[in-house]
Amino acid sequence: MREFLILFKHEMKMQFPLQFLSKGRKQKPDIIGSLLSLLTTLLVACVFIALLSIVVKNYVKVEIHRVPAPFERGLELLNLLYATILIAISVACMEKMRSGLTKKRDNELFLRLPVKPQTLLMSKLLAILVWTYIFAFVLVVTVNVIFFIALKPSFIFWIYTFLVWFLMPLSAFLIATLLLVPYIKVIDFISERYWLIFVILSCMIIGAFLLYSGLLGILQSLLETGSIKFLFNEAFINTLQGLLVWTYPANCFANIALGKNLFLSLLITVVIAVLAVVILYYVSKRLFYATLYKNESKKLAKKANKDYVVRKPLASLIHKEFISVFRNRKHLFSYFAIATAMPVMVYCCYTLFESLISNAIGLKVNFSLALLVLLIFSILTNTFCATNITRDGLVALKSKMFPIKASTQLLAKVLFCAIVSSAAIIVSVIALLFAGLSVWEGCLCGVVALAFSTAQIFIATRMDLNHANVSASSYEIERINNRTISKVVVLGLILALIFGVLSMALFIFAKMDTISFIASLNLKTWYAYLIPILGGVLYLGFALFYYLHKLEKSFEHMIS
Amino acid sequence: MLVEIKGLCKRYESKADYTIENINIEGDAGEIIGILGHNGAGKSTTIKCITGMHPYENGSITIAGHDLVSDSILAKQNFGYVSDEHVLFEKMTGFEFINFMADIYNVTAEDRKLRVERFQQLFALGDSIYNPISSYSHGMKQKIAFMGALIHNPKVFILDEPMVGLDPYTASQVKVFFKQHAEAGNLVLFSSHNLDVVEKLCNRVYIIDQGRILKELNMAEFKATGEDFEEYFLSITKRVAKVV
Repeated sequence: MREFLILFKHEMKMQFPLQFLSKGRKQKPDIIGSLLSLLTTLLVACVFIALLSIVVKNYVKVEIHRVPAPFERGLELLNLLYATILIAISVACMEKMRSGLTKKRDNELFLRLPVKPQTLLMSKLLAILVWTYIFAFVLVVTVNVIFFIALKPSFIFWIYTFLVWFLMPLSAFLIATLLLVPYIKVIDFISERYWLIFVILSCMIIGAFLLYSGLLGILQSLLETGSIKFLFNEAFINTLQGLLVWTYPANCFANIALGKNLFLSLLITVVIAVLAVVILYYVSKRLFYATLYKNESKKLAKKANKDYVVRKPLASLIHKEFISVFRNRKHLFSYFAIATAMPVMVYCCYTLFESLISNAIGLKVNFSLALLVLLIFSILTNTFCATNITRDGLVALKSKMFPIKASTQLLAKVLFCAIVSSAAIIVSVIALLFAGLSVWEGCLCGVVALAFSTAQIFIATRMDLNHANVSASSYEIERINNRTISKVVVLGLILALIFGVLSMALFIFAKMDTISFIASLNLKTWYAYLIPILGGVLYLGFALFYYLHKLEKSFEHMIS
Repeated sequence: MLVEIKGLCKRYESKADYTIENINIEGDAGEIIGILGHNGAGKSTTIKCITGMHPYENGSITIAGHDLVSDSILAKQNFGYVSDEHVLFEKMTGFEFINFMADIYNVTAEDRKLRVERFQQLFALGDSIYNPISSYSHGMKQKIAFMGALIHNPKVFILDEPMVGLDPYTASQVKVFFKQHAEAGNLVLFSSHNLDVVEKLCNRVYIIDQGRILKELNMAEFKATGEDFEEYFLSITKRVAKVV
């Protein structure tokens, strides 16, 4: 039992890596980063909860043939939401099990200790279960609180909520276990196919963003029409009802929550829970043992490049940057996939806010809005450059012995980022042209965004170099990186807002001749174009100076 | 002289005292030189200063006639270095890494092909150089690091604890290679705490302890005295082995 508790405690630390709770040397907290993360999470959560509340309130009022049926409508919507939650929990669970059970090296380390494999397995599964219950709690309670406010059921709704929360993770475990082996096969298949991973990740980001902007579109329609009943017509509800019949066992959970067919639904979900426990144990045991005792076969790369390609040192350094980012799933996601999705994000945001602003003030501020959106997204994409030095770890230190100037080595990193960022900006400008921006305004927007983006890359790279401690622990490196990223994001966003909003304000004021004070300023519309251009040039100049100032010395004194 | 170090001093920011102080080392073509010392004696710090990885406070380092600070590019062009940490670009294949190093040192396609084939045979690597470095064992990484450091046929070959992690066959091949490389008019300079390797391979040995060079030994002259190398080393570093 003692062994189990020690292992379980370790697994819990792995599942919940709350470093600030760990004992040890007190570190300087990343206040800006923590605040940014908290604000972003709160913003996304608030928008989600607000949207969901509006949808629930409106949907339960929908009448078919003028017959109101709030209970039926509530049941349908709850069913749909539970199905979504169940999918989310099952996928998360599956990934947790895959990473927990198939990490051969970690598990081997434990097996050298006097620990039974069963004890290790049980500790892992229990930690995953605890994580799943917490995840499910957050989602189920959020949804149910919204429903409680909208439908105002009796207090017993909370007892049913407890039952749903208790049983749903077990159902998710069953689904995850059944799909685990094929899932592992798929992951193994794509693990070395980086182009495929890139396409999948890009599609996922684009899909998620389209979904989110679709929801914002509903909000926009609501603001314009005052109702979203236009969406929930009879045909829509009939289609939804047809689909929900197949959302098994989510429909049972919806029944339990609203007390419909309670005993039958409970019986089904309890049977599923028991099945889940049994199947989970046997499948995970087989998988875990197979991973522990199999010999790792070293596969030869199928299409190994055997050509002696000769490159100039600078080109070779840029190629090295590409490989180290492209062949790392985490980096691939946070840079290439985000940069690829950037044009879609820019297009969606621009079209959404363009109609909102023109409806609100009766003026078209296309250039300023396009510039603001483009700057914000290019700055967010470039945050990755704040890890340009430290992401190499100790290899960065080794590069000091290369017979190449520090400025050339760092130029390779800056150029690599500039190529990716410029490509994303150019495609985004083309997307903006399709959204209705004029060609000359698009070109101007692109030039200003390129200047800001390049400046941002210079500043991010230099900041990272100034704080590089490449031989620190991975946690310490990540902490330093997060602090640098936070600073770069805040600086970039402030500048983007200043120039974007200032340009917008200048454009609007130049068109306003009814207010005497503003009219007396005699503002011209071309100021709205000139100020951001000047700002971009100045920022680029400052960034270049900051980057080049004592560059070689800073590289020389990189901490080891 | 291919390597000339005079009065080298290095102090880490976190420490008040010098980690290495007044280090003087000379090495010429055809020599194999060992820097011998216990753990923490200052061997790795000395090597890292010579390779330009660590800046230093006082002294001068000259490689193939080029000062490491004022003429750093040419100085660095003349040495190859293998560290004890085997830090490589893990996402590259072994072959890509060697090609990358060849690009950095401007090696022609013909030369790199000849050298890669030679080292492939020497280290019995076969097609495994086409696999990602992240999949390599400790010994495999060491072999790839050797190939990367030697791809430009450097005049000075610097190594930090080179035999760690090598299998007996590869270790013997490496020893043969050291001798061949030195005989071809180059210098091999390495740090170690392995007395046997140093005794068998080196022409000259610098014994280092607590950041200072205690003794410079000509191994041919030392062997002629008939003294036991291990006893001599322990007595000079004042750490006599005791059986408890």
